[in-house]
Amino acid sequence: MGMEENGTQEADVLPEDWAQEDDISTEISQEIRKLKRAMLNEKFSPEILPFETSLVHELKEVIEVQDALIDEEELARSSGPSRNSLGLHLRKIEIGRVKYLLRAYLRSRLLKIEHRAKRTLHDELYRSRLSTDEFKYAENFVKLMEAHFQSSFLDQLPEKLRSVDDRDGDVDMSPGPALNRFVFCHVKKNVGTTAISDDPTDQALYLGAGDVYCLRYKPVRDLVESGSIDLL
Amino acid sequence: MEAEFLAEDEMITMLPLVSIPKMTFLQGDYGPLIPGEPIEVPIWFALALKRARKCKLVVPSWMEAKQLEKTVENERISKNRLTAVPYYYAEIASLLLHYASDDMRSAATVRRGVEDLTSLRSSKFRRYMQTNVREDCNGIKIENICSGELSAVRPVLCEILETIHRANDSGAVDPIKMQTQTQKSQGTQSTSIFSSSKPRSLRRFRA
Repeated sequence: MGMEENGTQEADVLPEDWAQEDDISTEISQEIRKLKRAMLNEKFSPEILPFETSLVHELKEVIEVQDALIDEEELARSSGPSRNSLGLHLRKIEIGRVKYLLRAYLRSRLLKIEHRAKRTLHDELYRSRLSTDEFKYAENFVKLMEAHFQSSFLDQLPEKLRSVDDRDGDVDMSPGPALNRFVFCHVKKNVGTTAISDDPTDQALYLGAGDVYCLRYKPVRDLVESGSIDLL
Repeated sequence: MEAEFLAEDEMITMLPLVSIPKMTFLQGDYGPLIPGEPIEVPIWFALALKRARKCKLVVPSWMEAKQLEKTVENERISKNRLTAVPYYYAEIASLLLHYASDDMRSAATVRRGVEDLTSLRSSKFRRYMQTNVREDCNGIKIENICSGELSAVRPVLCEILETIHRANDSGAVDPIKMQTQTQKSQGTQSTSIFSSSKPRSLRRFRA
């Protein structure tokens, strides 16, 4: 069964940004694309991914500058003769779309942080993936939740049952993210034969560029981070 | 809604009704718009102009009534695999039918074509899942699936695969199974309830 046989015939029906991410486009448009990918990967991965620090920083700046420019122009227009209001309108729409994307990205991360705030803070890997703001948020969130649990019911329990640790001796009380969950992915670059389960007797899978698979997240998590595959 | 947002970044050809000089956007320059001269722009851009009645949209070729008919026919003929359609076809079709049906020669036919295509594809896909999802599957290759189908099938398929595996894995902490595992490591024949199953292998979406 040749995995490679389905060649590139579907390349032209794939969305724009599935094609090569090169040339023609401006730097900003590439960043917007990257953010879009980061948002989707974040949305579909079971664990929190490294924060796109520079990307978010740069796009925030772009948004600020654009907002200021648009405000300025609007002010000028209200006093002077009306010209090209449609262009202004279109630019507003575009900036609105970028803002939406950025919010969707940050929100999908917040969702995961709230879901496992304590765990995220205690796990060295996940803690390192948070931005400074997210870290503060997680800390406050944990504090608030603990205070709330204390006052609402923990104080009424016998003393030895009151702790909210995720470990009880050697036993891990809170499960980590479900890394073994199934996800959909699109292979961007030829990855070649890849093991797709923990069991070495299982058949490996040929991940060719352009293929779409439904498989477990864990075996391919490094490929997501390296950008060889995208989650869908 | 999010899929529609993403679909709006796809390109479409439009015929401007006004003339606007070249404009610089974050994602590049568009224009100049010259009345009647076709230009390729993102869908969100075209739709904004359309709402202001400043352009006519050129329906993408795959969405023309005739072409759709052919696609539906192909979809019907190729029993064993989904045919290639644009990834966001359903979203784009719904956007264009909603906002630009007056730019189509036969919006009703197009609408019907898209509906036929969607239901044909989804029933086909369901059938494949029925034959291809087995207890021993760790990865499924899916050809030519598109955005809408993916979000429809995601919760069901992922849940099923996980449940199957959880059932299998709970076999691993089963005392009998644990025993057989130690036996296995000693080279003895395994007698677990799952030992009868074939070695796990990949099932492809294509039958």
